[in-house]
Amino acid sequence: MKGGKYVKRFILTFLVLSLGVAVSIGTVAVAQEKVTITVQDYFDPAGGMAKFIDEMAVEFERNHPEVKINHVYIPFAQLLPTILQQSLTRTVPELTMADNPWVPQLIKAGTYKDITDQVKEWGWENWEDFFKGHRELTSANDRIYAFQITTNNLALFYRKGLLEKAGIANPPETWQELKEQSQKIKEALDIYGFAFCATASEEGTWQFEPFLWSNGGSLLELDQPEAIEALQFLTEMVVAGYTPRDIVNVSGQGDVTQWFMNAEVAMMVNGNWEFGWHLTEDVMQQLGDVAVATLPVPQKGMRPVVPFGGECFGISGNIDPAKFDLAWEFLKILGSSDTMLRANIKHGGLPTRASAAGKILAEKPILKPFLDQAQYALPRPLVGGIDKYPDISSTVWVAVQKALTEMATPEEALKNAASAIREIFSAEEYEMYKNMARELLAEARGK
Amino acid sequence: MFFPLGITSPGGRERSSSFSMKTTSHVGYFFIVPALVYVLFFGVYPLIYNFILSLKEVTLITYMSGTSPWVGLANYWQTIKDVVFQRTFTNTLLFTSLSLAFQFLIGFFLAILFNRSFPLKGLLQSLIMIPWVLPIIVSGSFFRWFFSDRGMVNGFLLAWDFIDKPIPWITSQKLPIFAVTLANIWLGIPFNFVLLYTGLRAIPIELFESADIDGANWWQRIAFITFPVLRPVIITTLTLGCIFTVKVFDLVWIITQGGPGDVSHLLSTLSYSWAFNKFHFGRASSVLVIMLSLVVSLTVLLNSIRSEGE
Amino acid sequence: MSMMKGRMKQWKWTLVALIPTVIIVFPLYFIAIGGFQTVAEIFHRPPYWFPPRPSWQFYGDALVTLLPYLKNSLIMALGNLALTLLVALPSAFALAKFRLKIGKSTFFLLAFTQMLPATAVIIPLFLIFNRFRLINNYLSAILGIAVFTIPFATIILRAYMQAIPTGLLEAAFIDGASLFRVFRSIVIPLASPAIATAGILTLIMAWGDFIVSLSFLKDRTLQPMSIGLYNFIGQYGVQWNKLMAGSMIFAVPPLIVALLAGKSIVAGLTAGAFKE
Repeated sequence: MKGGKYVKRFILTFLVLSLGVAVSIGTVAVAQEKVTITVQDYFDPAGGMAKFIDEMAVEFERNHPEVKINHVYIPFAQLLPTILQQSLTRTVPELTMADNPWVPQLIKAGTYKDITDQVKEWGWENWEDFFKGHRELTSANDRIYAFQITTNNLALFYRKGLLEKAGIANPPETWQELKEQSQKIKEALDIYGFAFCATASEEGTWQFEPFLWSNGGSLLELDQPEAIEALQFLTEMVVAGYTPRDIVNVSGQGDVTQWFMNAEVAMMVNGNWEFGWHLTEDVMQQLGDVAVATLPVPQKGMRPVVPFGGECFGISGNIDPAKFDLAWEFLKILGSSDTMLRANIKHGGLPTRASAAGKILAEKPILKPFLDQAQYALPRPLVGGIDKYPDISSTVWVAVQKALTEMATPEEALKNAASAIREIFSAEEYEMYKNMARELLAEARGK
Repeated sequence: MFFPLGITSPGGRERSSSFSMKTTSHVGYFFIVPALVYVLFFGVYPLIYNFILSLKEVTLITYMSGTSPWVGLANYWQTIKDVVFQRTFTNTLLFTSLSLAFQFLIGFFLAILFNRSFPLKGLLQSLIMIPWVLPIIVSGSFFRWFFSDRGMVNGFLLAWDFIDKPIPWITSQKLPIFAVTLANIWLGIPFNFVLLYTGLRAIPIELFESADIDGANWWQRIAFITFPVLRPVIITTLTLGCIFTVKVFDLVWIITQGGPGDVSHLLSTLSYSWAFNKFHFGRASSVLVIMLSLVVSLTVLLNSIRSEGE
Repeated sequence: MSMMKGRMKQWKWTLVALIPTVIIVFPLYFIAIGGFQTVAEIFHRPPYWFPPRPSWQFYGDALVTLLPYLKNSLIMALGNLALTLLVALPSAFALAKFRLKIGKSTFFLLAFTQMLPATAVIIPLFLIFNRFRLINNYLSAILGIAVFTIPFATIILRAYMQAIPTGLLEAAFIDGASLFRVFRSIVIPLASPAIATAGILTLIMAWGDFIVSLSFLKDRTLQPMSIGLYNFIGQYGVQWNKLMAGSMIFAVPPLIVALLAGKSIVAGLTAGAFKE
């Protein structure tokens, strides 16, 4: 085993060296001449928004040579646990992004710093330029904590060519039409007429909300007929074979887009981000018949009421005071109208400021249905118990999945969900949130 | 006959395979100090942390500010009464027992099969490691697709006319737990295989040779030589297998996320869901503690079998 | 003539072993070819058995994206392996061969640390590491992973070390050897197949670590390949083809090590380690 002995010695040395390298790199302090501002988000590093932020970072470093911007990518599913961890140890990075539903509770938990005075200095008209829903979401008790820099919502994507082949001239405007058209499509083309996403995650709840709210249902009153009808409708679509049952198991809304692109479903509920993601210009040209319309409503004349999505940026509550001004400078850039417009053009999102929102239509007319719906789009936490929204959401998606897989009738599933949700709150809190939701919903529906 | 492992006869064991010299035992303590210190510091603290958390009522806000009130065993009562938890507990038992049984048997079978030389053995051996080496995000996603209504299993069954409607492997109430168990069995085969294989290779040929001379057939060899000699390795494999299986999280999370509804939750996924979907940290920790108790009982059980043998 | 028969007989076993191997490995096939297709092709129904228009582009893209992470994975996995074996070997030996008063409790303690899922351990672990300012360098990730791998390796090594004939060791003592000498010259060589086994399992564990690295390493330049793979998992969708290609790239180093380690297990034995 002579050769083996040397091999062993070699391996041993190599291992010890690796450990040595790791230790030395670990313990020698890296010389820091620059001020590092860390920007943390879940934007896909290869995607438009991340690249745009990188460009902004480069420009910022050029204007502020003493600064280094460290743009860190955290996978979507991990960002919230990571922020929690960081909040616990007060190591939240200088600027951190959050998905909008998390923001109200992060504000309550002190994750974000109060920037009201800075905004006043910048110019209050900037703040008022943000749409109302976003302003309400990123502020609390009249103090501002974050900016929402991009938004999106859900609309009906359809393949005109497939619809025409089935003898349909226009996309459905009501639920009844949606059902009838899906039937025609099934008979003529033997494909699914309609698909959406019903996963065991916020994506599932979020795709249910347009149907719930457009029918007048509320997250806090799921045992009412309006809510039950909404879930009933969707369940019938699955049972009749117009919608694949696999929607409870996709990896996300993106999988549904794949089916749509492969002509396995003729219509789908999805968001405008898809134009920056799967449905790029090349793909649109290739497919040739992709169009968008506002979501079908329960009855003619009603308004589609959708949740708004999108991400917010804010400054860490535990930021080193010496870095605060620089962090604010960068945040200001992200929040300015012009930057926001350019960012969203690249990203496929909608700007959250009125001045920018108008302009994007000129660049991307296909976004019109989304913009129309954006006017009345609801901030999920504000109609869902604010910081209890995640709890409510997880109860909702369980109920939706149970109904869609026929484990329970929509009525049973929602009754259980409703009583579970009532138990989350004290009696007064429940009344307060219930009424808040009713008000906002009525406003959105134009009643 | 000289039995190098101190075995006097098949089925019996020579007493004392450990040192009886007192002078060396002090040095022995020194040998385990590094591991002990490390584990106490970094390993036990999380256990205690979670246990303490389970005795408090914790919301996101109080978690961050550290002001959660003590509620004693209230979390546990609520948890145990919860129907979802009860079903999850049963799921976990089912999942663990089926996984362990099949992973072990298949791993053992493979170990015996590979316990001889043949061409390409090295290559095939390292291929068997694949389930453990592939990132779970990918293998989990594969199984999610594999079991879906329009996935491979149903595709195959439909194409060959075994069924006329897709079987809802992961879109129904009763089946998802089994689909997930199957995926987990696949995942655990390499681990069992490697440990048992190395153990098998360590059995000296003389033992088998003398058994052959005595006229033993193949199952007698397995029962009277392989199993007894391999006992520490088997117990260890089962113990570690049990520990790892009960806490399996990623695989299930990727395939079903505990769904549809909440029918395929394991204790680990339920705990995670309560913690990071609902932010009920206290209750989530109570589930963890119950899970821990389950594993501890099973571990103690397994290892008590061993000490009887000694 | 009998030589021929011998070879034939051996190939028979290869074929027999091939059956379970193929069954176990078949998901790999789909993952491997996924890297040659576009995402639309991957989603095609019925699924393609061969890529219709194979392209190396996605493997190329994946490689370019993942290469910067490779160095980090290597440093962390190897560093972790070194630390783990350094601590686990003597511990396993002591637990296997010495009748220590705290022996049984130590064993259970080691087992306990394995019982919590990583997600439950990561927050308290982060808290404690943060207090010692150990965050955001290779060492912290290595130490964090070692919390799992040290007990793991110790438990495994102990099982195999129990099989080492005590008589042999006692004889060496009688001859006047010190404990260290016995350990170094007898125990370790005898246990080398076990060390190889524990080593390969530890390495795979460390290589595949995701949650510890994600929590402890803030700089993108320090993150290992397991996190690099998540570059292909965006908020709105997954680049399946690149993810699959990336996973294949990710799986290659540990598989190579498994191949080599497997040979060393056999080599160790044929050199007479366990034969008398």
